[in-house]
Formats: sequence, structure tokens, C-alpha cells
Amino acid sequence: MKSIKSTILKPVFYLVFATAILSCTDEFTKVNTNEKQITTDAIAKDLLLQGQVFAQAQYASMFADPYYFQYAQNWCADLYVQYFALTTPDAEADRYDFTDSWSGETWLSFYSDCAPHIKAVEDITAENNNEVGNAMAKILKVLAYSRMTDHYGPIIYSQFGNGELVVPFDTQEAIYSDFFIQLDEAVTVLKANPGAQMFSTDDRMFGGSADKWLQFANSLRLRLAIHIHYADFAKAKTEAEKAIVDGVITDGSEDVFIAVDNINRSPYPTITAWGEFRMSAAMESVLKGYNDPRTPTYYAEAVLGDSDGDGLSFEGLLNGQSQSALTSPPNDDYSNMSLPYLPIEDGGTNGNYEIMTAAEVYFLRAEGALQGWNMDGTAKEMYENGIRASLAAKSDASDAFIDGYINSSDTPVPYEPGASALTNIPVAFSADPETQLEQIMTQKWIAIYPNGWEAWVDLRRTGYPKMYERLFSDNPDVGPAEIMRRIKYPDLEADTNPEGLEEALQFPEMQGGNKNSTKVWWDKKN
Amino acid sequence: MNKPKPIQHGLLFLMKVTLIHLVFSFFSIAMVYAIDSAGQGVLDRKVSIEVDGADFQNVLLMIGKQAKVKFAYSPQVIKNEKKVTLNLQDEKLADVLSTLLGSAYSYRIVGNQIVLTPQNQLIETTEGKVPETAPYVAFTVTGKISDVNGSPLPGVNVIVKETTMGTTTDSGGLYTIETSTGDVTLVFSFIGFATQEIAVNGQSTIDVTMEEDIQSLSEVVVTALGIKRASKSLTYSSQNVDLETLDEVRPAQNLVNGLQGKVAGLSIVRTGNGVSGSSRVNLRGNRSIDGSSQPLYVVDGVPIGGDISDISPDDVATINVLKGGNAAALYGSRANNGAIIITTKSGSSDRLSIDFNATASVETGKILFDFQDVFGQGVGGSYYSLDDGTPLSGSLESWGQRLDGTLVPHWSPDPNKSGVMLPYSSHPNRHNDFMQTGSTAVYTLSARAGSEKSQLYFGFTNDSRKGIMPGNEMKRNNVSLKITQKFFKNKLVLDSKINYIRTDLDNELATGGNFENPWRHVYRIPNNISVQDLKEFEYTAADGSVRQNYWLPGSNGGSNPYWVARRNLTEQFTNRILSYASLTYNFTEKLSLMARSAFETSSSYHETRFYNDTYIIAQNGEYRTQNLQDYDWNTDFLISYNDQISEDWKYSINAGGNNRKVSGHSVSTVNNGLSVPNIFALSNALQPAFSEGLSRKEVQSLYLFGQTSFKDMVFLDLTYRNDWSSTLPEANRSFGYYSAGMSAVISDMFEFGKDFSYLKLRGSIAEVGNDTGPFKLDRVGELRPGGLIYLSPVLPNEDLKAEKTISSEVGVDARFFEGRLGLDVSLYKTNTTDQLFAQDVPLGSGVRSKFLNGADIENRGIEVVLTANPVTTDDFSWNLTFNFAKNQSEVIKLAEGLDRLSIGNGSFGIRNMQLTVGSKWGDYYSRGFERDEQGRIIVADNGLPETTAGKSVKVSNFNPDWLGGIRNTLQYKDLQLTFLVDIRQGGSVISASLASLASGGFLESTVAGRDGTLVVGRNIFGTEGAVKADGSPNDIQISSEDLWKSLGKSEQPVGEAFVEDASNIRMRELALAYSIPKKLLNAIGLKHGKISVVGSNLFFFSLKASFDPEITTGTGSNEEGYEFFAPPLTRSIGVNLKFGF
Repeated sequence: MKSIKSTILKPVFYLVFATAILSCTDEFTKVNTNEKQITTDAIAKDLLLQGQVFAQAQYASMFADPYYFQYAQNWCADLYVQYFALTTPDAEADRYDFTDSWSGETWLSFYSDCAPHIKAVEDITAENNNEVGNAMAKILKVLAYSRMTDHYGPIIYSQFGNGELVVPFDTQEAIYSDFFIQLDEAVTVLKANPGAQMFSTDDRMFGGSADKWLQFANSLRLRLAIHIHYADFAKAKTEAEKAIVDGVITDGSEDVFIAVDNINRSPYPTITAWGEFRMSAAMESVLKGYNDPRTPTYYAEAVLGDSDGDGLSFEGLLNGQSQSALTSPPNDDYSNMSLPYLPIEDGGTNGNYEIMTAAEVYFLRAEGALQGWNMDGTAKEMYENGIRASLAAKSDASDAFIDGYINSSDTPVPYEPGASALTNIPVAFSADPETQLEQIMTQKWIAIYPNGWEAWVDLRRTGYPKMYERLFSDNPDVGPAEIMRRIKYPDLEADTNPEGLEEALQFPEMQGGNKNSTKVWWDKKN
Repeated sequence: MNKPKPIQHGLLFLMKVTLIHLVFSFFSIAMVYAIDSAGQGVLDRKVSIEVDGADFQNVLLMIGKQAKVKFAYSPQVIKNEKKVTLNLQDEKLADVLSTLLGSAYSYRIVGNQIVLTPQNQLIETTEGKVPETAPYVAFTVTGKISDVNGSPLPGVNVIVKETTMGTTTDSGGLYTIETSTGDVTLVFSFIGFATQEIAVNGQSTIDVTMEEDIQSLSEVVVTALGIKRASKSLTYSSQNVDLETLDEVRPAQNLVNGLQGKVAGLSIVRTGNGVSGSSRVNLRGNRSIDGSSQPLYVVDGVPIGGDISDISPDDVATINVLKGGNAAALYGSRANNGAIIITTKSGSSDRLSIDFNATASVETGKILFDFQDVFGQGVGGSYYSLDDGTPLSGSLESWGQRLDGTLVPHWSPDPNKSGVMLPYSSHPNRHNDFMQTGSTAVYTLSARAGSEKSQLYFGFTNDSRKGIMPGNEMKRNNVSLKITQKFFKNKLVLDSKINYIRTDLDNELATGGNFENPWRHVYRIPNNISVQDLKEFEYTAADGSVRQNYWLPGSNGGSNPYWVARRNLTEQFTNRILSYASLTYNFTEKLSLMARSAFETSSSYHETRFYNDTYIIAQNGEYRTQNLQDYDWNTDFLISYNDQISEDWKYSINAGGNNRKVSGHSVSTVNNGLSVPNIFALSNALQPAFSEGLSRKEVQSLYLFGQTSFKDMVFLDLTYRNDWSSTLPEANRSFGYYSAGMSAVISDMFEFGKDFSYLKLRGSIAEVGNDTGPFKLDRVGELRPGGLIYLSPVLPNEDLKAEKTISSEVGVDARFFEGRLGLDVSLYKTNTTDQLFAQDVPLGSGVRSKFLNGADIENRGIEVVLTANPVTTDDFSWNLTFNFAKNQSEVIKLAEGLDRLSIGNGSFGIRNMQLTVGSKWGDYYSRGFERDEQGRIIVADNGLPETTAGKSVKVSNFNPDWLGGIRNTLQYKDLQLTFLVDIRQGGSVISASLASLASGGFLESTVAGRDGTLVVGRNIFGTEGAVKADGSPNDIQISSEDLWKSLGKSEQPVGEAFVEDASNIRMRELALAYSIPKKLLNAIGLKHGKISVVGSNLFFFSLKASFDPEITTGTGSNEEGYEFFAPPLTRSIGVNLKFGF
């Protein structure tokens, strides 16, 4: 027996021993590390990597990925403000039906592609005492979240990233209140660091310039102040005047864009390739009526030319078409977006994505001045400066032409024979304050095209510009003559954060329920 | 060398104290492939017997059981009339036999068998038994008997049927038998093998290949690590698959699909990607939330990392299905869902044999959706716009007017079609006109050769298939070479194999809602459009460009199906090599060591070419490429020792280790459009973007297992395995698990009478650990082209630990009437605990999902295998196998504070799969009808049903109540008829196709009520009843168009209205085979020959759904039971020709 045992056991031992030596597990950590990816630890140590996270945050803050952009903006806000009318029979969006999954995609895109990246940069810069980078992150945070809360009302804001299974929402009032605090903190830092540079070209908005961020922070403060002036006049006035004192964008050269590239593109070359929308009747009425030189910058002539016989080939379609009317999408009958927005293959330019322009800021100041605030100019001056800035940027009109435009008494025209014009206001600034407001909002609407996101905020706040009544609404809560007031929370949130959502639905501003007809907090005028 | 001592002591301790006596693998084989030298020991075995007037045969059985021997004799020689009275206590077998047999019979010992022959040959005459004079020897037959692998079989009984003379083969499998004439029939029988009768017909040499008999009591099965064991020693459930028709009825798409209906507890659903399709295979239910619930495939002892479908069915010798963790515990992590053990053919040890197998079959598609043939394109009951009277030729819907044959303008945008008029009439055959007849042609040539020392198997299979979708084609060539060489007096055995597989696959079909899924477009062809017109799928536009010919140019979601088939092309090829080499050294008969290294590597290339004017996808065309490199390297050793403590106590002990390194790397390009249309080259890319994928892990394992048996009647199995996985955090990398099992052959212990042939009880318990995928411990940022870093949306868990599946099972195996009736029943329960899964968390928490350890999914069930051989006569036999399995799953636990988990919430989905504590696995939730307390549908003021806003109603669960398969084999002389009836009872499938097709007015169900006369709860959904908001019965009339558009609305359909029962009974396989008679074969120099007509999926005995509920959209754990533009049912009819020489 003894010899047998040694015969058995020796090899067993040798093998076990050999295995233990040959296959040590020391390498396991290395094996289980994907060298094609970056660990969060590495990001925290490397400013260059942080810059690339910041770039992701910037790109996602505007829902620039075309697939998300379609849901987040093109099939809602852009249609609600009648920049475009849908021509595809496959979607009910233009009949005020915004399906749950589109809202879900918007929510998902923001909270996974944008918010975590802002938070990462904000947290890392704070830990590393990178004050300037931290200030930039805060400003971007205010920009990004302001767009989300304007869409939905109460959202997850202060508790974002709590790592818990229940995440509380904040009221829109609280969120706006914090926006100004965040901007205060950022502005203080940036003022103390004139000429500072951070993140270099990974900062897709300002190439790393702290000074430009400071100016943008002030301009953003003005925008947000204007958003809330029907809800909290005093705070709005204070913040708006503070912004003017600190210095806002005043020149077209200071317009704010996100730089895009061939991979992270502007959404327009892609969504125009899908061929699902055309110029609206509202835009046709106004641009033709004002003989507006921006028309060819914004839209292309219809393939089938001047079908309504008004002498111009820019043709708009009434919003809210029935499905049967669109059975063969009438794309050739109506104007597409203009060449630069088209697919690159078709001559599109994949131009940088516009966030805020001097023109918009002048119109914000005009609206502020109309409230009697000190906007460093009168409402009329600001209104006219806005028009000048926009025409300079978006047309090749001469100064003389621009003067003529500003003083013109032309009014919008019917989009087709027998129809009515969108409104009856001329460009020349009126003496009547309500008309002035309509003029400011109408010109702002034209100037900030195609920023439907911001234009929808203005439409809800002020009721301007006037809109054509939609042909049909599929939405039981919002009639064809009414304005969509918000985007509904997606089922996705009810599935994953039921308690947080339930609490939000109890907020005073949500008493109308999770409906498209419920007004957000700042929506107080009408 | 002092250090070994503790280990030695440890092992000794184990051996002594726990009495783990383990049977070494080849010992089990030896029990069957009897060895002569065992003879003397046999005769010394002690036997006690006390009978009074017992039947002679029963006495032999009793002695046989006690002495662990089998008696072999011709029934004609020993009749039951002989009554026996004996009283012997504790006598040697030799003495017992001499007392019992006296001078009437002589006996001979061959292995474990005692062959009885009459001392004085008795010949039965009508007058009774008279002594025969010494036989006149006029003829001598010699030959060699071997198994299918060519190994000689010693101890085979060879009996002359007409007389009673018999002999047995020697250790080389050789026999010689003398007969009075050359016109007799020889009967070859051997335990574990099917008995054969061969007419001598004057031949002096008859070589026989004995085929293993599945129903035999002592079958040998290949278990974990390639170890062959007698089935009676198994302590768990395993099921050997009858391969008889596997290479004749070519399994659709892959090898495993051929197992459908043949194994109790095995569920297979297929995806719809055409000739190449993959399958979702499931043993004993779904259990893993995030990982796989599919079994591990093991070929020749080597676990396969890649797709099993490449393996040629012709190369396969045996398939054994190990159903649970109990059987597969030795394979560790990867086998916690069971394992499918495949052994490929080996060489032969004597002569060269060459086999040829050819199959040619045709496949036809049958669309089961109930399409309407009454109304054509349009909306609101008209083909003309209500606004301006223009024809709605671009409509994607069939809500138009009655197809009355009036002439309408051609739908085509082709300028040449301008002004052409077409009749607006029905084309009810359009789907069939579109589909082509698929075909399969498979040729296999295999050769076996060798000597005692070396054996060689060579196989070549050429497989080419065309699908029913034009353009969907596959060609596969599979070359396999297996060499076994023995050295040093057979002490060292080298075994090696290399298998090279090249697959070329064109236009694999996209599935589900994907726009590239051609079936989507086929099903949506409006009735007024003829396939003839669609065949011109492109035209030249005025500007000279080639455009797609479709009624709605630029459509988002519509396309000419011919365009998709001909202009949305994909091409992929894969080169794959499976290889291993192993060395086994047999130190002594009792001790051996095996070392093996196995490589599996595959490289594949995929490219996608979408032509310009493929809607929505890209301008000027789109081009994508992908290169994949996969590598899986297993290195093993196994040391085995077997011995016996006494005659009764035997044991074997084995220790082994495995190192597995697996990696994968992919590089993909997406080109975001092309500069020059339709030139598909990377250099023509408009904006190329690259992405790279990496996966890598290493697992090291050590294991110890053993078996002990007592009197070959009671068996005990113990295994222990420890794994170290690179995917787990350092503290939890090492995890160990065990299994224990016991079986007892009750029929060897007690006497049950001759009709109760066999009874075995078994029970086992096992735990199997499982690791997770690589790179799951750290939160990472992904570098994205263009200089962005994207943070992973999954929050990792730094403290992951291995998940565990604990399974227990008991079973009984009973055979009656000499094995002609068999019943095998298993009861099992498995709990998969500490599951690793990603839980969707509130997006606001900072991530999309969190990786957790938790969850306990329980599966319990019963499996029954009933085998019967109701009729056996000389000319006719009928064999029947019935498989039955019932599995119930339950979610016992998810995670702390979590009682509901959504794991299938597609962004456009009709359904959301949820796991809810206390409920079954796989509940699908969707939008449903709002109902009052009595369950009546509530309708709105417009007469349409009120529906829930979210997917909050449980509408379906795909799990069948039970699965069954009945396989019949009827043999009449040289004709054999085999058919397999497959039953799936219960479960339901939710169909997004039905939602889409109903909302588009394509289905028969949409015909009624187009005139606006539907009343929900009355003439539609009538059984359910409906009330208005005020509670009064609904009487509001609506049109079918309003109803179905609302219920089937794109992106938010009311899933409750589109659920169908998945129950079905189908004729899965049917084969009629004719074996060419030996006489004829000999005349043309063949060894065997067979021609068969085979069919699969021929028809349904019963089908409740309007599609094939077995086809799903994908193999993911949340895609089963979800139908979305699945391909039609595919039937196949073919001819198979097999011959060898």
C-alpha cells in the first residue's frame, strides 16, 4: 500500500504545486482592467481627461445627438412654436400627442449623458481646488438644468447623484432660486481670475476662456431672470439688473455656440435627412409679410416652387395636419430648412450649434426694459438692437435695408390665399405696451430660429408670438387652439423612482397633474 | 521534499475517514467491456440460494444478482419448464453452478457474463427433447465484432438461431462458429448493445458493428470531463439523445435545434435571422437575471466558448444532456445551467471505413398571420384623399376602399410608370409570391482508419443553404481530424483533434422592429400591390440616380422588401478553429494522469452595405465593418486513481485543475455616409468613426471528485471545486462549491419478479458558483471618437461575490419487461442566489443601473421520460419515447428594498418584462384596458376603450405549463418510420406584429366594422363586456379603423389586445428510411446503405397563435415570448442518402 500511495500522491502534489505556481492570481487585477477605458480615478488626476468629460457634458446638454434631439426638441418645442410642421404620417407629435417613450428618451438622455458628466467635473474640480473649472461646470449646470426644468417643471436637481433608490425632486421655484446662487458663486470666482484658461479646446463653448464664461454667465442670468418675471418679479428685476451691471453679450462676435465635429455633429444634418418636417404656415406668414431677408437663411425654396401663387417659393404648412393629409408626405410642396442645415452630402455645413446670441440678449433686455427695469437702454433701443444683431448675423442685408426693415409698417400676410395672417403687428415699434411685448417676442422668435426650446418658454410665458390654430389635436388635455404647457414625466421615472415622483406630483405647481396642460411655476401670465 | 506531507496526510485522511471510494473512469467502462481475466474472481463469489420448485430462469436471475453476473443463453436452450429446488448457503458460485446445472449444461465465463451451453445439445422436436448427435460441421464462420468506434468487443454472444449452438468473442472481438450449413442466421447479442441477426448466406466471414442500445440497462454515458460511466452509477439526471436521425433530418440552423422534443426539460426557441439563426436553449427554466440561463456546450471534454452551430452533426457520436448543476458541478461556473456533452467520432482500430452522407432538402415558408383580402391602401375607407381627391398611393395602411378592380394610377414614382393605370384589386398570394423556396444541400465524407495503436478519424462536411428570403444564404465547410495514438504498450495515449470551420453568411436577417428586417416590409405589402410590380425594386430617376421603387419614397419605416433583400446587404465570414491535444499516461491499471490543452479561436469579419436611397439610414449609402477576434484557451490536468478495498467496496478518486483564459477584441467602423454613392470602401467614408471592444478574463480551478460503490448496487459521488476568477474583487475571487449524490440499484438488492427488470433511485445536491463578466468592478469612462469621455451608466459594486446555484434532485429509473418499458422520473429544485445583476435605479441617482448581488430565483419541476417497446417481432418493432417536463419558476427575492425589477423595457416596446417577488419569471407588462370592478372594459365618450397610461397590466408570461415530445420509431424489415411530435402547452406570447398589422388594417380581424358598427363589449371583445363612464352598458358605435389604430398605435400599443396563447402541437420531424438489404449491399461492395425521406416542422396538430410562437426576436433573457415581425414558419422536406464501405 505504501508504494501505491506514494505513486498516487507524489504526482498529485507536483501537479497541485505546479498549478499553484504557474497560475498565480496576481495578474488578475490587470486582467480585469480594460486598458481601452479610463478609470474614474485616472480622470480625477488628469485635467485633460476632465476636459473631455466636460466636452461630453456640453454636447449632451443641448441634446445634440440627433436621435435624442428629435424627441427632446424637434417633435415638441419646434412644433409647438410653429417653426416647422410635421409632414410624416408616422408621428402624432404635431397633433399635440407626445408619446411616453419620447419623453423617456429625453429624460434618459439628460440624466445619463449629461447630468453625470456635469456632476463629475463639478465634483472633481472642487476636490482639486480647480476654482475656475468648477465655476465653468456650475454655469454649464445652470444652462443644462434650466432647459430641463423649463420642459418638465419640477425635476431632480439638488439631489442628483445621491446614489439612492429614491431621489427627491425640487420645485421649479427652488431650482431657479439655486440657479442664481450657483451663478453668483461662479461669477465671483471668474471675476477674481480674469484672463484665466481652463480645459482649452475641450471646452467646446469658449475654448477655455474664463472671461467668456463670465460674460455667458451674466447673459444666462438675464435669460433666467426674464423667464421668471411673471412669477417672482422682484427677484427677476434684481437678477436681471445684476446681469447688466456685470456685462452681457452685446455683439454678434460674442454669440455662443457649441463646436461640433464630424463625429459629434450638429443634429440638423441628420434630422433633415429624415425628411419629416417642413416650414410652418406661421413662419411663412410672418417672413413674407415682413419681406424678411433672413428667409433664405432659414428655409429653402419649395421643390415644386410657388404653389400658392404669391410670387415667392417659400411655402409653409399649417400645423396639426391629419394623418390622411400626410399619407404621401408633401415634402416637395413646402420649404425645407435651408442648405446649411441639410445633410452634409447635400451641401449642409454641419455648423456649430447655437446656444445664445447677442440678438437674444437684446430682446431679453427689451423685455426687461418693458418691465421698467434698468437694462442700460430703452425697450425700443434694445428691440431694434436685437433686430440689427439678428439681421447682421443671419442675412446679408445692408444697413440701409435694416433701417428700412426696423421702421417698416408691413404686417404678416396670409400663408395662402383665403387664409388669415398670423398677426397684424408691424416691425416698427409700437407705442402700446402689449403690442410692444408682442413685437419683441415675435422678433425674438424670428431671431432665435431654430431654437424652439427657448421660443417655447417665451410662448408659454407671454403668449407670444401668436400662433395659428392647429388643424387637429390628438391630446385630450390640450385643444388645437391652446398651448402645450409642459412635457409629461415618463413612465420610466414612475418605474424606477415612484416615491420621488409621487412627492413631486404633490408640489403646488403640479396640482394640474402630470399632464401637458399643467403650467410650470414661472408660467403665470396667461 | 518534506512539504508534500501535509497534503499526503490530508488526502489519506480523506480516504480513510470519509471512505470516499471512487470508481475510476475506465473501470466503469471495464465493467461493460468485460475483461476475461476477471473470470476466476467471479467464480469465487459467494452465493446463497433457497428455492423450491422455482423457474429455472428466475433462479439464474437470482444467482446473477448476488454474484453480479449475467447469464447468457438462448431461450430455446433453457426453458422455464425446468423447475429447480435448491438450498445452498454461502457457497462459491462455481459450486452453485455445478449443482444447478449438473451435467446438462456447460458454462464459460466471459467478463461478467456466464454463457450457458447445453452439454448434450438438445433439439426440440414435436415429440419432446431428444439428444442430438454431435453436430455435423459443414461450415465455419469467423469474424470480428466491434463497436461503432471500431473498438473490438469481447464477450459478445454469437448464437446460431436455428440450432442452439453458441460462442462468444475473445478479447480481440474475434469469434469462430461452426454450423451444419451455410444457410443459417447468426444472432449477436451483447449487453448494452442492440441485438443483431445476420443471415450467413454462405459467407465465411461476418464482421459486425454493434450499436449501443439506448434502452439497455447498462448503457454507458459520457459525463462531465468526458468520463464515461455506467448509467446506473449516476446520481443525477442525464439524458442521452438518440442520434439516429440527427444527420438525416438536418437540424434547422444548428445542432442543438435537433434536440428539440427529444430531451425532457430542454426548451428551445429560435430567433428569426434566417438560415444561420441562433437559438435560446434552456434547461429547467430561466434562472439568471443578468447572465445566461443557457447551458454549457462541451465537445470532447472541452467547453466551447463560441457558437455551437458550427459543429457538424455528422461528426457527432453521442450527445448527453446533463440537466442541472448536479451533473455539471465539475464544470463549475459555466455549467450552472446544465451542460450538453457532445462526443465526436473517433477512428477505428481495424479496417478502413468510409462513409458518405448526402442530404438535399427544400424549405418553404408559411405565413400564419390572418391577412384580409377585402380592402386596399388608403385611409377612412377611401383610396382618395378627402381633402383634394388625389389617390393615396403612398399610404402605408390598408384602410382604403373595397378592392373592386377599378383602375387607379400606378403607385410607382418611376417616371416610366407615370400615367400607367393598375387595377385596384386583391393579391391574396402576394406573400407567397415573394418568398422563395429555400434549399439545403449537405455532403459529408468521413473516414475512419487505424490499428490497435493508432486511430484516425477524418470528416468533411460541406453545407450550403438558401433561405426562404431571397439573398439569405450560408455556406459552411467543416474539416475535422482526430488522431489517437498509443505508445509504450498502451501506457501513453495521445489524443488530438483539429477542427477547422469556415462559414460564409450572406444577408443574415435582421429581426424585430429593425427597419432592415425584410419581413417587416413583406407583411406590410398592401393588398392592391402585386409582387410582380415590386420586383422592379429600383429605377433611374430623371437626374440619373438610381432610386428605390416604393410607394412612399423616403418613408420612415417602409421599404420595398426586394430593396431590403437586394440592396441592404450584409456579408460575414468566420474562420474558426477548435483544437486540443491531450496526453494520458497510465502509470498502472489503477492510476493515470491526463494533461490537455485546448484552443478555440475564431476571427470573423462582418460588413454592411446599404445602397443610396435606403430610407432614413444614410445618404449616398452606408457602409459598416466589424472585425472580431475571439480566443478561448483551456488547460487541464486530471489525475485518477481507482482501487478496491474489498470485492464489494470499490472507489475512485480524481483530482484535476483547469486554467481558462478567454479574450475577445473587436474593431468596428461606422462611416456616416459615403462620398461617392454605392462605393463601399472605407476610403470612401464620409465621416468614419471607429469603436473598439475588449473582453478578457481568466479563471483557475482545482477540483477533487470521487465515487465509491458498494456491491455495484449503491453509489456515492462527491465533488468539490474551487474557482478563482479574475472578474471578482480580490477578497471574493476564490469560491468553492460541492456536490454530493447517491444512487441505489434497488432491483439488484431485492427480487421483484422477472417483469420488473430494473429499479434505481437517485438523489443529489449540488452547489455551483458563478462569476460575472469582465471589467465590472470599476466605474469607467469610455473614450468616444471626437474627444469625449462618456462615463459608464452602470454603478459597479466593488464587493461583488460569486453567485450560487443550489440544486437538489431526486429521481427514479424503472424498467419493466426486460427493459421494454422504462420510466425515468426526476424531481428537482434549483435556487440561484446572490445573483449578480444590474438593477435600473432612478436616473437621478446618478446612474442608470446599479450592479447588485442579491436575488433568488427558484425553479422546481418534474421530468418524465417514458420509453416503451410495445411490439417486437422478427419483422416489426415499435419503439416509443415520451418526454415530459414541467417547470415552475418563482422570484423569491430580488434585493434589499426591491420587490419589482424591470429587465426588458425597450424604448419603443409593447412590453416590459418584470420580475416581481412571489411571481413567476418572465411576467410581461403592457398597456391594458381600464376595467370596472366586474372586469368590464370601460369605454370613453368616443366609444374607444379606455386604456392604462403606462405598461402597468400583467398581460402575458411565456413560460409553458409543460413541454412534451413523443418520438416513435416503427421498423418493418428494412423500412423504418420515425416521427416526433412536439408539444408545448401553455404560456403566451405578446406580438408587436399583430399590433402593427392591426393598426395598419392588414389583418382579417380589421375587416368587420369598417362601416362604423363596432361596439366594444358587444361585437368586439364581446366576452368581456364594456361599460361607459357612467356605468351603463356600452352602445357607442365605432369604426374598426378607429379601434385598431388606437389599440395598435405605434410606440404605445395596448399590448393586452395582442397576446396569444403559445400552446401548440406540431409534427416536428418525420423520417421514412429504407436500409438497403445486406445482399444487395454486398453485391455493390457497400457495408451499409440507407435512403430516407425526411421532413421537419411539417404541420401543426394544434396551434392557437397566428404565428409560430417558437420564434422570438432574440436570445436575450427578456426577449423570449416576444414576437415582432418574426419570419414565417419554415417547413423542410428532403432526401437523405447514407452509405459506407
